[in-house]
Amino acid sequence: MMKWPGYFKLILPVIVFGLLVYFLWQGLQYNPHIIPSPFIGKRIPDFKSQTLANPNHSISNNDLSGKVILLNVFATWCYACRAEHSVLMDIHNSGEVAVYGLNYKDKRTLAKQVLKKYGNPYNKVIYDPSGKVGINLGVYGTPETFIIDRRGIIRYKYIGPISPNEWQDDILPKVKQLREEAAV
Amino acid sequence: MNRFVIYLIFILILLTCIGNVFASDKYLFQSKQQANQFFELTHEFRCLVCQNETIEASYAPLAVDLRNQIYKMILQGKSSSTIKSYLVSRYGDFILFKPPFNRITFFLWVSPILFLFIGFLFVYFLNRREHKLLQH
Repeated sequence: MMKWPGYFKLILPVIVFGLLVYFLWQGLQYNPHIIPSPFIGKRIPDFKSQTLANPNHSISNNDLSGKVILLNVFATWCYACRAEHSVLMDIHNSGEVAVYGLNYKDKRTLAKQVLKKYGNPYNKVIYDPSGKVGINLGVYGTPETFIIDRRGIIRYKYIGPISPNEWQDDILPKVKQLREEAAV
Repeated sequence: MNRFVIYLIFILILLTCIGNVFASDKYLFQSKQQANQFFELTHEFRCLVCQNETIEASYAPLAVDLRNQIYKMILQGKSSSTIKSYLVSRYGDFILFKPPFNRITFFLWVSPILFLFIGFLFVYFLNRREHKLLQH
């Protein structure tokens, strides 16, 4: 073994320990329930479903492209969705960006009731009682919100309810930035 | 309490574990191969809601849906790799219990062996030095 000065041999374990602590500490910050979506940068998968409002009307992936929008996955059984509902109403009322809904594994009558009672922030709602559209979008827990650009490509995904701060500081700037992008 | 009672209680507690064997829904397959395929696949995927459970064991609604989806695909004759890429393309690598071995995960797989090797080197050189010191 090379001749190393004495103090170095004392410091080395401390350095290694320090590195270990740093990486493990970083590990503690990660929330395992926030799973990165493999759809970032990919087009919305094809789907065609009834709208929540009217079973005779349909909505498809084509309706979700053309402008920057938010797609919010919600359900009446989802407690956290109630928490973000007022934020969604604010977004809708501000007119900054259109919000579309995906009513995931829910009952039509219940969902319509809730939207009537608390307000409807959505331009249109995809009715997905079987969850098939959800699976094709990689939905694993509500609420989830996708930011979709003009070309129908998913650019960002938020897991969990949106807070007012997240809307102002994070989502709105991203929406504006996506709008600046040249239309292809 | 006498010994008999203690043994009885112990056995009764053990018996509650048998319930797990019947936890899954009953799926009917066209062949033993398909049943095996289902068994293997549902043990390879993580439930994203109850994250330490397999899709086979979990009661979470998402796990139920994905079991049904896998079942449907097996009846359609899809291969295991098709089903795997179906799920990974929607949920990402995290849904696999075994992370894939590629450029990004290379260090994840190799580092335990690497550290073990470095440890051995360290111990080896340490011993050499002590041996040399003893000789003087």
